[in-house]
Amino acid sequence: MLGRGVFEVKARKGLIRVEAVVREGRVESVSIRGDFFLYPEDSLWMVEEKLRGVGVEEAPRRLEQLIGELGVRLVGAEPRDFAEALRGALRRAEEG
Amino acid sequence: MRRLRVLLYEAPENPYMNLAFEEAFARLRAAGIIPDTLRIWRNRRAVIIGYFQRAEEEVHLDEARRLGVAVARRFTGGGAVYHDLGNINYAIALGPSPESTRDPIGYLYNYLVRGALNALRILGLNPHLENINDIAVGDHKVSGVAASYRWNAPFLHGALLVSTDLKVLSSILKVSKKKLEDKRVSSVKYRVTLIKELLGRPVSYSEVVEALVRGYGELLGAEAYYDLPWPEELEAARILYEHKYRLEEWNLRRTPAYRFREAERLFSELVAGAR
Repeated sequence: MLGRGVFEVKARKGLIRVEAVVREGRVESVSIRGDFFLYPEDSLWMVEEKLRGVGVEEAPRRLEQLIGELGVRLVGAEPRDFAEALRGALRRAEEG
Repeated sequence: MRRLRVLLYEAPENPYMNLAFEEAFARLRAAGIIPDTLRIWRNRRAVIIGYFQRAEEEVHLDEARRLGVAVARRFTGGGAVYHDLGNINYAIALGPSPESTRDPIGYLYNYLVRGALNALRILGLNPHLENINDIAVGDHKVSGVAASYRWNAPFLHGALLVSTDLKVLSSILKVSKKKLEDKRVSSVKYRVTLIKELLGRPVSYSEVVEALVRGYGELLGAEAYYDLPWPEELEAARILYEHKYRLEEWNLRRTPAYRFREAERLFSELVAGAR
């Protein structure tokens, strides 16, 4: 079973739009798009990469952890804003 | 006295070249090859999207095509902007300092942005910062900035709405419903206005240039001087244009910068040769 979902969250600064593809309860791929500010910029691709294969239940929490582990700095947004966008996208992906 | 190099180099007919040059001079400043530089430039007709955006989500692509508006992606985050000759862009690239290294984000968004605020004051306005990266006068936005320290040196650029065609802007840029619904956030972003309207008179390109040069000169306590692009900048811009900025993979497909291996290889060679 393959599902795809998109969800948007408006942070204090910037819109976070997450698109997720789910296969059998795991994250197949994630794309985090929007007009937010995130530093270093290229850590975003690493976050996306490291979410592949993570279980749907733990993925949002894992995303928040990755932001910390990779030393990502956000301007006008919180890690939980990104997690919330991912949670919404995964839910929609599972709904099909 | 500290000196600030000013560059009016622009390629208004080719936004991809303009953005290739933007990255070229930012990186050459970070590499210590060129001095502190303020660049002022324009595009004739283009939408510039942020590094994390996907073109079709931000731009009515059919409408852009119909109107001959190019869609180009920049290396900094933030949102899509519409550029015509009534929009004047400023970009400042400095070497690293203890302040910028200690708190790069604060340095960029609380300090370096203030050169543009000075410029607006010099033009006779009373601007303030809003939503981190917007510059507003009263309750209307006149400029948005985006910044980076990706090469370990401070870089900030912004767009000043002097006399832009706002009808084209609103017909081309998509606005997310989520953003319009959200009342928590000041919607200054969607209440843009023009500097010529605020001043109630036409404002020339050279007047804005002078204001930006003075504004940044005062901020940095530096004496400004005008210069031409260096051969290294033009060569670096050519490399980045050829192997990155002119490509759809970059502009339309949200491909990570590091994937453009040939651009990176040739750029590194150029920097090694220039040292």
